[in-house]
Amino acid sequence: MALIGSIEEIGITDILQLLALSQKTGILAVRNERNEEVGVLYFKEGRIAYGRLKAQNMKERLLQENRIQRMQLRKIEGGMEEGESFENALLRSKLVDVLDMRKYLREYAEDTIFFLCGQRTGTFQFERRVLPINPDLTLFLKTDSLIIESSRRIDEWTRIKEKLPPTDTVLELTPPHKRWRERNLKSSEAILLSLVEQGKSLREIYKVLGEDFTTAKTLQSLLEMRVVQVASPARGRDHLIKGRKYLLQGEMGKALELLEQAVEEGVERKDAHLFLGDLLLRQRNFQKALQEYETAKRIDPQNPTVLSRLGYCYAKLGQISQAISCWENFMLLPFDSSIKERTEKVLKEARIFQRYLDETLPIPAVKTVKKNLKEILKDINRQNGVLGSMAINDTGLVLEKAIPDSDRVEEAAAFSASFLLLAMRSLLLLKMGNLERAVLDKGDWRIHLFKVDPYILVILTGSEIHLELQMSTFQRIFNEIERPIRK
Amino acid sequence: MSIEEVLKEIHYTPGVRGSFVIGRDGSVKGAYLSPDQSQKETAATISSMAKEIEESAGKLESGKAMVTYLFGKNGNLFFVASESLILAILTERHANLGIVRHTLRDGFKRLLRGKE
Repeated sequence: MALIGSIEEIGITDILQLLALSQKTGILAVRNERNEEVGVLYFKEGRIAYGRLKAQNMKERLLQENRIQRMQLRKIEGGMEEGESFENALLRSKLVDVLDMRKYLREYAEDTIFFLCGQRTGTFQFERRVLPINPDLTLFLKTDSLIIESSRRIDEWTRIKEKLPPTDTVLELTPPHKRWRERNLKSSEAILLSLVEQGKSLREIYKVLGEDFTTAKTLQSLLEMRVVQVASPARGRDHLIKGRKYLLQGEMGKALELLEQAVEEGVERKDAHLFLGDLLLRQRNFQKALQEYETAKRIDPQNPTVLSRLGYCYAKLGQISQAISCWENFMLLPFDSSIKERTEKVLKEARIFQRYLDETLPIPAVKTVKKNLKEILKDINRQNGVLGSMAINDTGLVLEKAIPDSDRVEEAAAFSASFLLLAMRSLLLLKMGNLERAVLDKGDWRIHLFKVDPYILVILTGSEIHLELQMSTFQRIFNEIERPIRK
Repeated sequence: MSIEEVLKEIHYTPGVRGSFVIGRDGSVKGAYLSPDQSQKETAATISSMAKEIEESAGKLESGKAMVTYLFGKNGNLFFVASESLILAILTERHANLGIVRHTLRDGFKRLLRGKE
């Protein structure tokens, strides 16, 4: 017979204690007031054997914590046998071993208990059943210590919630932390900062991440460390918020009017331009949308949404090489999402199309737009963070330089050439193909070495710019290099 | 933490194909590589590279360890060297550079701590 009751009458903590004391084996399901299942706990002889939350399944959790990537997840799902659990399939894939899997399951079960103990309304139902889980993965957690920890968390959570701003508040990054992507952050912090950067309100953030202890604690620590702050009610902000609301409701006329007003009123936020771009994109006005996204990109050059949509606009306007460049920069950003997979496919097709266009030029080329070495080095030196650059050949001879004169230039050139030779040998031994570029990073400065046949380009930079963006910028400049004709 | 444990942890990072720890004499101290990759020869080449970097670029500034990134057509090789050992990681061509950089630094710190 099942044990059924209302949480308002008997709290989850009491139920857990009861099941522990009577050493029950079975499944406890908890539902909210709308009768939707919110979480499940499996018990084996009074101890917790497994836990699962409705709001976040194991797959989402592993993805969010960067423990597996979306591509790997698809592969695992594709190879799942009928009736097999995801956990078993993951183990079989050998991406994780039993010990790691038990660690993940333990964390997941603990979070499930902490979440369920915080429920104040809804119902529970316990049924004696044989547990449908792999015995190797069955946990054996004592409930007492978890209940104490859960009470501590609930107290702390209540205290944190009192300190946090109201849910309609919008946060913004404080100026010293605008380049947060270049830092090593915890996954939960990185996701939260990305939402803050998108101008989402606390309510919207809770909707994405769940209004739980972890989210509240992360928010509190970011506010305390002054990484984020409550956004100041800048002029035009009201128009921006209302405009976005109309945009989401599909009332384009009103949205356009308000967003344009927000921009005119000097809202120095990329969001106004981003939303305006979105609106124009929906109206299929690609030229104007492109201008808005370009402005948004100037404010925030590493914003994935802006880069992805900018690429789309360029592609729609037939400017394939610019589209490719935007998508390449987008792909370099360190995050994992399904949009990235889609973009990778589109990018591949765009590259093929671009090559086809290049190869089938209907009239003979009469004018070259290529630049000589001197111009290329000048272009490189104009980039942020570049201290100097030079072009050498395979033997280390300096062909052109844009670097302060020093007796170390020739020494550095000789070193670069011999180092590249060793690097090429290593990659070939490891079957990793021809070397394309190398970077030596000392923490405060970097040396970039690019093989741009027949030259080797050596660039000395500071380390304040994101490494991947720096490399892609240089690569783009090299595409314009004039090469000697080989006889 | 032992060398094997550090290498095992690195191996779980998305995009990582293999990793190994090399002594400054070029000997392999521990490896997590596929059998088709020639360990000894690669270890010797990486060790020479680290020596070359130290002798030339290293003169410019001492202190922080130099991290080297090599990007190939079919994959990447990243390594970091100290006075006593080198940690090298092989990755897929499109592996997330940010995550792998973090793994490399973190793994290296653990290795040095393990040696103390």
